[in-house]
Amino acid sequence: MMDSLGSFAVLLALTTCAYAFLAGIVAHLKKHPVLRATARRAGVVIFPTLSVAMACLWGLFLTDEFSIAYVANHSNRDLPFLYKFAALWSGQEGSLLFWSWILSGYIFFVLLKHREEGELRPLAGVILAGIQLFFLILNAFVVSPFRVLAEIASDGTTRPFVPADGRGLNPLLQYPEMVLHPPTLYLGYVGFSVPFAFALAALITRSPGERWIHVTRRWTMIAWGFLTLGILMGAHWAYAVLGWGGYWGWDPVENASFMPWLTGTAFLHSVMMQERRGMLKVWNVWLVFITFLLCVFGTFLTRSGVVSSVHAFAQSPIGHWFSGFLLLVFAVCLFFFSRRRDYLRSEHRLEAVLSRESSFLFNNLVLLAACFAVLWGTLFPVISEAVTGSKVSVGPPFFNRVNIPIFLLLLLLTGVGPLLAWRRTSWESLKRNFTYPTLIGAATGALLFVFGVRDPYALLAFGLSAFVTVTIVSEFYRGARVIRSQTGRTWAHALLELVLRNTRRYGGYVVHFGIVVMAIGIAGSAFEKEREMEMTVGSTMELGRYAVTLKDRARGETPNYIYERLTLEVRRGDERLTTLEPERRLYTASEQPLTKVTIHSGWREDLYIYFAGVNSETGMPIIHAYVNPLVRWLWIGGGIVLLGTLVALYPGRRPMKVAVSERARAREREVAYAKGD
Amino acid sequence: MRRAIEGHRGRWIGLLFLGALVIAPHLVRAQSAQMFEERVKRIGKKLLCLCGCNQILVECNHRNCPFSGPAIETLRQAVRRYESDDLAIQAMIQQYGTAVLAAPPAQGFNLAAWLTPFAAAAGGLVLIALVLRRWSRRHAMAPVEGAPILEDPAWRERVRREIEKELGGPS
Repeated sequence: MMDSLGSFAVLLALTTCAYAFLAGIVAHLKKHPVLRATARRAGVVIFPTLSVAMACLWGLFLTDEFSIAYVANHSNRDLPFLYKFAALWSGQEGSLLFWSWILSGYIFFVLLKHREEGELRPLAGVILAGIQLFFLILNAFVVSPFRVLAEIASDGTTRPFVPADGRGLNPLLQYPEMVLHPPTLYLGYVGFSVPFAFALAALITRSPGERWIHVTRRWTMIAWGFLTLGILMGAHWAYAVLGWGGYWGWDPVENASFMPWLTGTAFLHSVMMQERRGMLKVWNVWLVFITFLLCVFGTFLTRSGVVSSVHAFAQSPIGHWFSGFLLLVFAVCLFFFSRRRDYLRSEHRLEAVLSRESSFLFNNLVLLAACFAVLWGTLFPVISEAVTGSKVSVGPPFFNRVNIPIFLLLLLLTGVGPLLAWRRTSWESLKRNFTYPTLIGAATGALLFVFGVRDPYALLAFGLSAFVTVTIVSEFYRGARVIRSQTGRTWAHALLELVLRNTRRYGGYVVHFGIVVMAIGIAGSAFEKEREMEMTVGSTMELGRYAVTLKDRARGETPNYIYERLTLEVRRGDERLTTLEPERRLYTASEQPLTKVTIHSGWREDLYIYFAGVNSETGMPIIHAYVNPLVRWLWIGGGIVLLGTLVALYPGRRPMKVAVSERARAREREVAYAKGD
Repeated sequence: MRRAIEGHRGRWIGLLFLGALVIAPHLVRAQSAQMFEERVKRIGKKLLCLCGCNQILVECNHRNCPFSGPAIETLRQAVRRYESDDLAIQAMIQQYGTAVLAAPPAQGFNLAAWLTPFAAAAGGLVLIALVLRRWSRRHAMAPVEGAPILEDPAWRERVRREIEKELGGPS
């Protein structure tokens, strides 16, 4: 019943979406307001319709309806409730329906929020419906999650088949963060459809002014914020579950999420140039196009089997659908770009090389260089095989060596950019703004060198982090000082007032500070220590400042898995710190093993312990331990980035900075005229 | 008395010497075992597990991994056989192909893997420099819009104060 209802809801959504798309195109060409209104309403209806399909699929999971192939393949009776809920997006079919549902949610809110007539919003709605149509075709005809299991009888006929229990959820996904990681990542990926649709619509309609930029700025930040959260959660999951001691392995699927993040970040910076100065219009439109294309490309990578990855779904014909869609979208973008180039002419030119504008250009260059390096490394095995006939691998050593210098340069620009003035920066201002940050950055590097830090990248990263921190703090200090002098308020009030006056600007600084804290956390990986040891009960492993003693070894079972647990006492000097209990599990339904990592986390370092296995000859457990310095800073930095994004999304008390700037400039002219010039 | 003490000391020294002779090979063996393991780890970090996990060979922690276990054993044999790290890596390449290397070798077509990202960045830099130059020239030739900007420090200070007042901080 629920599967039929779910299938029907998907088909209904598909029909409605097709109407929204086609009627929208006709309404645009014929300038037909009634048709346009119906197309809009049809677009709004997709979300509630798909919500019914989603509710049905969730219902099938929660009621253990194993007659449905997707449920039988990704759940089992003893799976905890939370994971039955999350199992919906653990496979190809469900995750694509989930993708469609999120996209329909975005369409729903876009159409409700931007009701104004004119051509921009309706056409953006049509483009979004076009994207939605592609995914709904996949949901309905290619990878439906509502397919019923069947077996072939001895007489050759097929009949329904209901297994006694499901095959269970992949143990690696049975982790609390996995409940949130895919939805946040998808909210990010799918969210970039909105700025893409508005950018393309603005290009097609030659929408006057920077309307599409103003409309989509918040949507872009929301998508960027979700993508950031999704990437961070994925990194934390890799750290806490996979057991290799790291959080980023430059896996193709990780790279696929990172690339649109880089171009999205570039867009969030360069868009300011278009808002304030009417510059970089072509660049911005293409950044949005590329970001969206990279989101689709990431999905293609995950689902096509072109590159091997632990994250990737099995190779399936769906890859061809995505490559076709990718080519089609690119062709559409290229076509309208070539036809409407005149619309993207810049209104202003650069006045001086030493200016905020040029710093944005360099920032964009570095971000795109990083994106290209990641893309190149991800695809190089395929390219190399096609050219030379032999396969090569591109793993973490390549990505680290190529990307670390690029990211250090980016960190430098994070500090430099905000200190440069728009239009022109004088040498005096440069000297005034950069002297202390540079001195403190250099002093930090020198101090760390004296204290024995020799890794050049780590020294640079810490020095630059200090430099950027001082520039950010000085921005807040100077702004708050002005407000204090005007209002006589306390420093805390003045800071709050400052942030509320221009949430976008100061939210951006908070994001920058978060990046600095993350950079400190990442730089800590240069000092990682590790040790592997076969242990007997009572034996002790020494690593760094820690002594880890095996106290007990026990076996047991839960309804979901059987396990072997070690009890380890951790001491630092004479102090008893904690007890850690790493486990090896065998999940009964899927018969898949999993090793549960345990971590003792601190501000200075994490003690990361992994139950690596059992010596087949002696039967003794093997423990692999890592001391990972400053990892906590990475997660805290990520939290600060998200906080800054929220601040930037919060409506400021002041009007848009562009308006303020125009007023200030107009006043400049008035003052000059009043003086008789 | 003195001779007796010297006799005892001599005996002790002899015993210590004998002990050292017995223990030394064990110590050397333990140390060389540790050095051997470190070398395996160092070389193993340049290699990739080819089970599909994309992890560094010695970091692959998949239980019953069909690749990493046997490959690490092959690496141990190669490390025992060859004193040079490069030769041990070559032995691994002969066994598993160039795909076992964690990063492409910087030779032949694979050199493109290393050079292209930096070449692209350099190309982008040149492009930006050209654009900046072009824009700066155009701006220099363009007629001035509105009132000219004065070089009067008092006026500049006044405008700065007003902008700070507007924006809540220096722009």
